[in-house]
Amino acid sequence: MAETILEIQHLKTYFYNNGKELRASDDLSYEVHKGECVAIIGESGSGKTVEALSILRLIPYPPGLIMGGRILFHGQDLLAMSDEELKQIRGSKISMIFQEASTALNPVMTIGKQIAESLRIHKGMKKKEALDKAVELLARVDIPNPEQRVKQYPHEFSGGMQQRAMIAMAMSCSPELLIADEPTTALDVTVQAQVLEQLNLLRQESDTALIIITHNLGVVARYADTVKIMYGGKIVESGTPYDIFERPHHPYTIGLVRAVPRLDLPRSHGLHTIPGEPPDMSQIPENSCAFAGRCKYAGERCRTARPALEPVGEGHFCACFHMDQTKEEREALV
Amino acid sequence: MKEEKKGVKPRKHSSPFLKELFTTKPLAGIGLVVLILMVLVAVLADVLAPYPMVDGQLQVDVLHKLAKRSLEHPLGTDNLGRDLLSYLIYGARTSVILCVACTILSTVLSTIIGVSSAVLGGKFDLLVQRLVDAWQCIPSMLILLILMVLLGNGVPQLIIAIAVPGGIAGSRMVRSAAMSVKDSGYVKMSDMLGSNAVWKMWKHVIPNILPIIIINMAGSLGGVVMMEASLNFLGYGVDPGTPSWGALITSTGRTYMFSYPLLAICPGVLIALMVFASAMFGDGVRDILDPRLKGGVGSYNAKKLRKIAAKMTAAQK
Repeated sequence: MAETILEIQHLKTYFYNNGKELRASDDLSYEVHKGECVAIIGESGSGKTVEALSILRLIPYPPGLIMGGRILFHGQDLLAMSDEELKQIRGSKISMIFQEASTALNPVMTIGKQIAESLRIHKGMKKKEALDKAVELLARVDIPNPEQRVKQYPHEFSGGMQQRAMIAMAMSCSPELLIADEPTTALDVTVQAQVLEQLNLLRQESDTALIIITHNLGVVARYADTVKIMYGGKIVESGTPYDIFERPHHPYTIGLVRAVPRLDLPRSHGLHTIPGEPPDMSQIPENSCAFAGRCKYAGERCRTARPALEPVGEGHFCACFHMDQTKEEREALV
Repeated sequence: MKEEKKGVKPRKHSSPFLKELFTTKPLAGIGLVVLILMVLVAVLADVLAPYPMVDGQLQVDVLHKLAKRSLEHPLGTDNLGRDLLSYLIYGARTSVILCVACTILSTVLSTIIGVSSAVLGGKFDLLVQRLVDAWQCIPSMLILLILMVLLGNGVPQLIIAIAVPGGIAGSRMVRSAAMSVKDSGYVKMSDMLGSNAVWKMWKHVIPNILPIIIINMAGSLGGVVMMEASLNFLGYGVDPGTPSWGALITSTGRTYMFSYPLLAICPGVLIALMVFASAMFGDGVRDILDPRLKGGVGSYNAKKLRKIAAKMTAAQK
């Protein structure tokens, strides 16, 4: 395995609202290796974005607070760094792409100037030089006529082009780690594919590690090296895409995989759903499995103790007390 | 992506603003013309005035004091025999300097206070806002009087006395605008890219709240003239020798109001005109720059649109 560049250890990011504690990221641990593509999957509100924002300490405070854990980037703890040191890393070593490009671009600033921003901050480039580089970057993300396009404003770009411009912004300083927070949510399917292909290409060209946060299992199957399934602020299963799709152990993962519409099954098969609804995260007791309320296997133990991630195969981990019981469903899956 | 092969040109931003101002908000256009004329008069005072200043003072001709209108003195003279027309022309200079300086100074001040308070947030915001609150509790006229007593009479003192309280009061509006911008995606993005607070404010927050700052600025233009007039009325204002419309009304104008009404009417009309012009201009600027106010019912725009629509349907028949 390649060198580990990011190591998250027991990350705890909590939100405090109206006297309630919400554990958006509850004792999370995982590693990212050089050039690896890690996909984080989970439903809305499962803490995916919070976890990503925690890496760069962009959690809005108040109400969010990183309560514990360490985030080691090349052995340096990002959480213990001073603001000044962190600013050196933000944008240049670790960069991020936000969900909606249309709101993440400044409407009154030209695209070129926005791409030039981090070049000017981190590389100390002059305006002219940085703008030339911006043209180059726009060309790299396949935007036609980059010389003219750099002088345009975000509203003159289509949604997919805005997203690609943001990728250019994030990639401008060739970061070692790129976090893409649902990079394709606001786009239609064809453009999604282009943007993802772009990201993957850039990753391979510059050996950048990629953390991709998504709901889209297709994206995962295609690009990810490792997949983490998040539920209720915790990782419930982690493994290669093959592990997740062919040998899921956690009832939630099985539900997810079964919920993907399949063309190869008869129409009478219907669409599988996971019963219930996402839990109110502030209501989950500390010592219980977050999925217990919706799980058909849940027993007394699931509500009084918290399952830990246990190895179930080579690089495949799952946090569930009833893995042996899910076997039948798992085997029916294939 | 075929559609962008050729002919993509960056949009040209060739002052559509002025055109829009005159076509959709004619009153605002007139206001702008009046303001520009006043600035021109102020700048060209030495050329335009029939009796130019000598050594920085208007020529005093006590023998012809309080003269009626005549060819030599188109509007007559005041109680010291100074030509009224010249006085008014030089008075424009004081008013324009005051207006421009006060407005710029107070806008800069309110932008600095408002934006830094919103962006830095936390304890700094709390402290600054409580200070602004406390400042707001004191009646503004009282503050002005205290400042004028401390600073003494004169144009620079007047500028500070009017601009500083105005700037502090205006900072609340700027802050609330900046608050709505500072949590937006692009400020977060800039944060993510490792920018510092000053960069964020200068590159992202201020450009996005500029319309509001400009509206604030245009709106406060008229207020400054009124403020100056009322300060002069209370005896604090410019030096006695400096021609100023406000000073003319309050001293000479008031004394001779019934016997020589022109002395009060002329500066009064000019002040009213300037306030009205800047208020109209400010309104127009706000309507054009604030997209939420665009083309509302009853606006000149809407009426015109209906006319055009009627014409077009008629032409089709």
